[in-house]
Amino acid sequence: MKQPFKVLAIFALCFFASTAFAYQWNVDDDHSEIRFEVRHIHTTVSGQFSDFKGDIFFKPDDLDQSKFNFTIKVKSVNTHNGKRDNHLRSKDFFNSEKYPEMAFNSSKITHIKNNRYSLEGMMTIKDVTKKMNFEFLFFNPQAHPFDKKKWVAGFKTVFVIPRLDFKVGNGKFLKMGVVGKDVSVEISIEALRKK
Amino acid sequence: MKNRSLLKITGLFLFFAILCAACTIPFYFESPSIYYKTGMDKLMLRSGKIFGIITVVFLLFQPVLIGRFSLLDRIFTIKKLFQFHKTNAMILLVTAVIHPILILGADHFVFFSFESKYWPEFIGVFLLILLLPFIVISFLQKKLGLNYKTWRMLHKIIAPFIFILMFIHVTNVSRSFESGWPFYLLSAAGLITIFLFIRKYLSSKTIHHFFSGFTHQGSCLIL
Repeated sequence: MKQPFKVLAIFALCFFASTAFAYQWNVDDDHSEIRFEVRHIHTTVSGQFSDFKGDIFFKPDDLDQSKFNFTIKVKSVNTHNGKRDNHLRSKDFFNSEKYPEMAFNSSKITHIKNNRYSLEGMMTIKDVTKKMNFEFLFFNPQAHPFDKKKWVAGFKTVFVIPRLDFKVGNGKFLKMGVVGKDVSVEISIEALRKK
Repeated sequence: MKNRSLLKITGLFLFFAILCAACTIPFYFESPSIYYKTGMDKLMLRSGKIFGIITVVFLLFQPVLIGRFSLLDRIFTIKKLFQFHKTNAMILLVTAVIHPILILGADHFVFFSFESKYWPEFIGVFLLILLLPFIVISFLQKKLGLNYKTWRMLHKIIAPFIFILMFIHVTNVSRSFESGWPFYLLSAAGLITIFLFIRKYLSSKTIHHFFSGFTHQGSCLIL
């Protein structure tokens, strides 16, 4: 009977040891966005994914214990055009019925300079998982202007995803000169934690 | 007799000419959604739109057929016109069911999420839900043991809503009907339908009874 408690205690110890050094931040959904832009003939079409979850453990002094894990619901795509959104959900692009989520799990965070950091991790879109590396900015925590019991920090990154590498589209719209191959992604996060 | 047959053929020709002309709308007034479809998807989307338009044309002809126009009654006979009204209903029910299947098929059956931006599509779904029992009950009225007067009253009350919903759905769901000739022609057809409904309601016996009762009561009050 004592064995399960031992396992549980070790598990709890490991869990708290891993998180104790890095601060856990909760994503403020109302003030965080995942936006994207893609070329359309001569112009740029923008959109966002409104439904996503993020596990953020980040402390600049302890980058080894810091991590960023995100899951995004593909169905939440919004380009302010219902028919286009449904087309994006279809097999022509994301195939949201078969692959309802996209995910990013970080593996390594390094400091570059000032508030610039480098993030390395595995990006999974549809059934393709690839290693990706991009920079992000960390905005130092400050007392929340409306809730003095909380800290508020900011994270911002801009990177490019070659959509065809992740099978988002088969290239027919690229050949037609309609939809570009690179999707520019901007993630802007406001994160909160108790003081 | 020869003249009546000629008029009959002319009438039928006119109907099919209108139907065929309407079916060209998805070719001459392409909506942007068709641009992004290729191969089978394009064929399904265009066919879906055509089936939707066929439904609209058949629906618009329904009040004409039961409008009791003396010219039409003389050419086709009342019995035949009511028979056409019934056959039309069955055809438009089938085309109304095929229409969303093809439209959704073009997007590989990815259903619209429950968001406000898809309200014209949901109006279409509601219209289909309304249309299905409306027509099926009409066909099975006797078998269901539904009183003729009750059925007739329900038929007269629900029919205008079907037309209103159809007009809202068509003008908002597709760019083809947002402006230009398709919009003007649909609006003209809508106005004619309103006129036909008013004419039908004013000429119905129930209205006569209502008005006669009202006048009687009114005169009593004056007296």
